[in-house]
Amino acid sequence: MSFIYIALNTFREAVRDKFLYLLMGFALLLILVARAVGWVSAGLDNKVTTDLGLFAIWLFSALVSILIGTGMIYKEIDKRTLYTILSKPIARWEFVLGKYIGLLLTSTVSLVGLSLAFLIYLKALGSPIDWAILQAIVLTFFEIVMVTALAILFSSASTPILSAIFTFMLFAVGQLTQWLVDFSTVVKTGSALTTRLLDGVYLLLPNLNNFNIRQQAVHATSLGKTFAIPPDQMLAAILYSLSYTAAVLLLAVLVFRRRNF
Amino acid sequence: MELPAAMGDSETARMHERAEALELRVRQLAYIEYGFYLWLGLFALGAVLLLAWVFWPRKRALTSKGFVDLADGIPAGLHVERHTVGIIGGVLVLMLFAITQQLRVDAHRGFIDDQTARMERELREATAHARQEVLDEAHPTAAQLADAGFQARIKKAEAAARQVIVDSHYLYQPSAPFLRKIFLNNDSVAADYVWLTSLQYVSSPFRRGQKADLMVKFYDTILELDPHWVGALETSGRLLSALESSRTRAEAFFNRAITHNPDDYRLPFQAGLHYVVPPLDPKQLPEYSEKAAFFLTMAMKRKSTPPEMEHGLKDLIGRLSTEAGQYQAASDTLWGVANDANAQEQLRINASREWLFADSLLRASKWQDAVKEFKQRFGRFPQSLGETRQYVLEGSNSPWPAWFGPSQKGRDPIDAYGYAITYNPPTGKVDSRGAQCARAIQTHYVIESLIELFHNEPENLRNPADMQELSAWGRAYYQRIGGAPAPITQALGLEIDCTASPLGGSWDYNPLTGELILPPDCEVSKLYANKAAALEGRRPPYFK
Repeated sequence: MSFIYIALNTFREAVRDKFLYLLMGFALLLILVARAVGWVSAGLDNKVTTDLGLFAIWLFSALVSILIGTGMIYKEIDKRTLYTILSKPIARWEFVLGKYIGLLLTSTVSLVGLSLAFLIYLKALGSPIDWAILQAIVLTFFEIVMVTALAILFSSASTPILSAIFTFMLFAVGQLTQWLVDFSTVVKTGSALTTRLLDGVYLLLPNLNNFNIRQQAVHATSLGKTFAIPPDQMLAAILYSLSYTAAVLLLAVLVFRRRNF
Repeated sequence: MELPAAMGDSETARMHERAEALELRVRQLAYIEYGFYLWLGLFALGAVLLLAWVFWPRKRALTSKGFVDLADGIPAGLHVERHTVGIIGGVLVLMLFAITQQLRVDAHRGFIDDQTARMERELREATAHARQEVLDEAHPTAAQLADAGFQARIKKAEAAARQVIVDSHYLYQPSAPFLRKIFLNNDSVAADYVWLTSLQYVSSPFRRGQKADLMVKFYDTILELDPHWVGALETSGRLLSALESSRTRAEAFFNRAITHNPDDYRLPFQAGLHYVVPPLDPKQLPEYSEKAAFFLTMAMKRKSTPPEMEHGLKDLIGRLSTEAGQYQAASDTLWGVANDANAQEQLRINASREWLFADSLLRASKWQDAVKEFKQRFGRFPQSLGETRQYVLEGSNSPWPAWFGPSQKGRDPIDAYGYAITYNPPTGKVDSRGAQCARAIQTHYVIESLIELFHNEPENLRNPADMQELSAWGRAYYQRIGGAPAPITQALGLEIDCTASPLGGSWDYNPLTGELILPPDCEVSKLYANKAAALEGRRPPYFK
């Protein structure tokens, strides 16, 4: 159970990082400014405010995971603190898992903080808050669960800058994987192999678009729905996130085990 | 099919293409023009800062920290060194000079030429394609090919194809799929961005003359990105309606939006309202009212329609149906509202008044149909409505309504107001006297307000001598102020004709008092005497 101590320590270390507060500050600013953008939207302020608020929560929570997470393991190696940890009776997988949980805890605190601020702000402005919006926030959390695992994977294998680039690229590509399927249908190469290859890449890459229900959440009330998506779909997305995360973490452990310290 | 040399790549066609390519080049250069003034302003600012640094007199001035150069006075107040100002000025000047040079290079070699070349190629291809399509469709003979009319048809198709290409370049906007990827599938935020961007172009001079073409592209992009954003779609339709005198484009947009939101009442409601606003040409009123009634009926059938809107909507649909000439639908709808105990009292009273009007016109229209059939059969109009009824009862095979029935023999037909159904044998025109009176009351209010306007004009300060003078003055007056408002044109027509009374003939006008004198049967309380019976669910008799 040593990973719990590592996780708590990682969390403590992350919350001392001023960069976290800088990101959260920007996110809060975007949420607050959303209303001002709403004012110039010709009477459609509620929708624009909710859109931008959910967008800010999603983007900045992901940035917290990527920008703080990608340097996490590298920093331990660079400052040589890793040696003192690994010399103790702590398995490498425990170290990786601890780092992951600590980082996820940090991202969760940031996500919850931003979400609470957003919901209180919406309530204060008299905008409707419904289950669909909470559903969108919950799915954003499960997206962050995956993005954090990717950040840890790259952090265990590379330098912070490269890790940040790789993770961000995968984060962006993960939003657009449906494109690959469309591409294989639209571009008629005549080759079944190409289609299968593209379908394979589609299934292999993290499909982060599964967690993007923000648009449905914003319109759920006006469409007379309680939830943005049916519970079955939500459950499938959550299980996808957990299984993909577990696979990525295993890969991270594998990579970390093969490194010489 | 090969194109004959005589009409193929003719010199004229090439000149057309070149002219359009040049037009585009001018439009593209306009971008640089706008940018040029901005650069020029910044360049001037940089130059001023640089000159200030070089030539500012070096006198001493007192600050809290002691004596410093006066030249440093202002910058010191801003906590910057004098040299910083100069350096910023220098950087600005150099950068702007470099950028201006880059623009010049682009203008000669890069973007503009590439664009123009691409445009020319597209225009050539589109022109050839359009020409080929006409030829393929018509399979013309040699004689037809030589025909000027056929060549004109080809030229028209070519011009239309070229216009599509020019517009696609001139009104370019990023597509929804592109924005979707740029915004990482955050379609809703992308739609917000397009919406906010579009708002600034609604009233700005940008693309004036093709504003509706431009805006509809924005709105279609929003529709594609966020099809359920009904608020924006509603407003978009309203703006399109305001941007064009023809409302067909707004209607088409509403139809597209309704397809995506089949359960939402707001879009058909808004589509209906945009046709409720009267057209500039009163002749289009029946068509507009029919469309308005169609969309509002659609809105009323939606489950999402607030129940409190039901009666108001029905009343509006009833009135619009009357304007559209759909008297049966109007009569049924308005009767329903007037006799609905759940409707507001005032709404019921209004509906009962409107019902009297609609039902009177319905009765008159039935007689009119009978007269038309008579004319078709005998080649002349009937002498009286009695003869018409006799024909209906004895000779016609049409399924006429009960009010022509034999039990009413020897009695005169009346309208819902209880007034006579009038008939003019020479013209074969049937009308409702009550409806004529109702129209006369409305028109007389309009004319009296016009008389007041005439009287208050400084050069007049008197009543018009007759209706001819008032009509002539009205035409000149509304031409001067840019057109008459809808209530005036609806009552008096686009030509502002005050002479003809809805009662037939001319108005009884007193130039001394400036009043129009209505006949005694057009007195309001007498005209609407049957309103109370209608409110109690009793239909007035069809014969007296």
